[in-house]
Amino acid sequence: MIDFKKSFDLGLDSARLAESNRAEISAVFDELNRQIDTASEGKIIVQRERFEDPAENPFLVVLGNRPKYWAISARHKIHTNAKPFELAKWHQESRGYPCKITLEDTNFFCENKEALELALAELLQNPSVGTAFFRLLNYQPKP
Amino acid sequence: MDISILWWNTSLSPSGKPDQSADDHSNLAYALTGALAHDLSLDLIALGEVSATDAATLRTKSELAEFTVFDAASRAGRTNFDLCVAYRSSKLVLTSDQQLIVLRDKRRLKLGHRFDFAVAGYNKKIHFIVSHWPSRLWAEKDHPDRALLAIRLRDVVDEIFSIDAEANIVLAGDYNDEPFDLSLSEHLRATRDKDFAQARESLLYNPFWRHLTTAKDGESELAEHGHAHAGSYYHRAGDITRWRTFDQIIVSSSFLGSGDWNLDESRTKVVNVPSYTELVLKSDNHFDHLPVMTVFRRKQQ
Repeated sequence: MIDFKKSFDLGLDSARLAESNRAEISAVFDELNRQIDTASEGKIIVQRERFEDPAENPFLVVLGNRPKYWAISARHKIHTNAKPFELAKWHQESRGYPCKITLEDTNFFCENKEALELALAELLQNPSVGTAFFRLLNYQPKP
Repeated sequence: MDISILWWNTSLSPSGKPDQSADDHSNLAYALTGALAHDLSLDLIALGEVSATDAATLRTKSELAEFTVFDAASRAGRTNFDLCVAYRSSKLVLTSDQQLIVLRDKRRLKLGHRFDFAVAGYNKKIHFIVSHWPSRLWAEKDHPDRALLAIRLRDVVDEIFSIDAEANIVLAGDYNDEPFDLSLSEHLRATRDKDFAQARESLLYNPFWRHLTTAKDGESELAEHGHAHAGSYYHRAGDITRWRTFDQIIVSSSFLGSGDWNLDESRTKVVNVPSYTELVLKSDNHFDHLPVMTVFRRKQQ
């Protein structure tokens, strides 16, 4: 007879591992933000959020069903109405890893915490990301 | 309409040693690339172990005047890719490209470079992924990195299939693994069984299972070419064999007759150019890979 009890236990173990991985990924972003908060004097926050795809099927757009995707973004922490900057596309497996960061024409498949840290460090050094940070640092709300 | 594709690890400029080759070796490789483009009526040429300098020189070659040379080596940022592709401009248009990098711990593994081509007179794209996986000096046979690379390459294939189950996907490169190694046969799911690949579209077909050794007996090969070969890569210090089939072109089932294309098995081969093979067999130069090629024929509409 098939061992359903064993499958049940394996499923629970997988769920625990996935939860642990997702918490670890969130902790990496927390640490990133802790350091960016200091460097930007509390002006910038980096987060994962959903964006609407601007280049998709116009019929879907008319129907209000513009497809969405996850991205790593930078926002002004104080002026929350300021337009966010999309820094890179983000994809995360349900089990946490690998998570994929698409930065311009490069796809990084991050297999663990150290890999994710490496990819995010590379992202921060990208000129287009630096430009986004520069604009957020110098953001002035319209009077 | 035919589309002919060639992959060649030139050994000119490995990523750790850019521009390692002497001028005469470089010139020979450039000349051979041009001659192959002409003689084999190639449409798409992918080259490994080339530098930005090599790509720039290839652009000046008259034999490649009808080709666009895309230098993937100088666009690699912090990771040293060593690839370039040349494609016939009248037939193919590069619509997008992406480097694929796997990060594990603090290490970077070069998964490959994806090129999406539009084809003149055809309404679907060809997705072409070129790889040059780590040498067995750095990751031995069945090393976990090899499994990881194959699983991630399979993920990329599955992502394309999730949008179009009948997508035209071509994988080419020097995998430093043979068709029977676990990475390619099990993790990438590149089968030797053409009929099964047709029946089960998620499988890939690897025609280079046929090219683990010479297709002819040694005497015929010698009589025809002057040199026999038993794979695409020559390793003179080999223990059991000096030849390995590390260079392969692998295709989705859409090229097997059920889709829009037929794979021409008779023109899918390791390319044996006698004067070049002679150099590969010698120890006084860097050349150690023979080119491999394939041809697809568009089915009549």
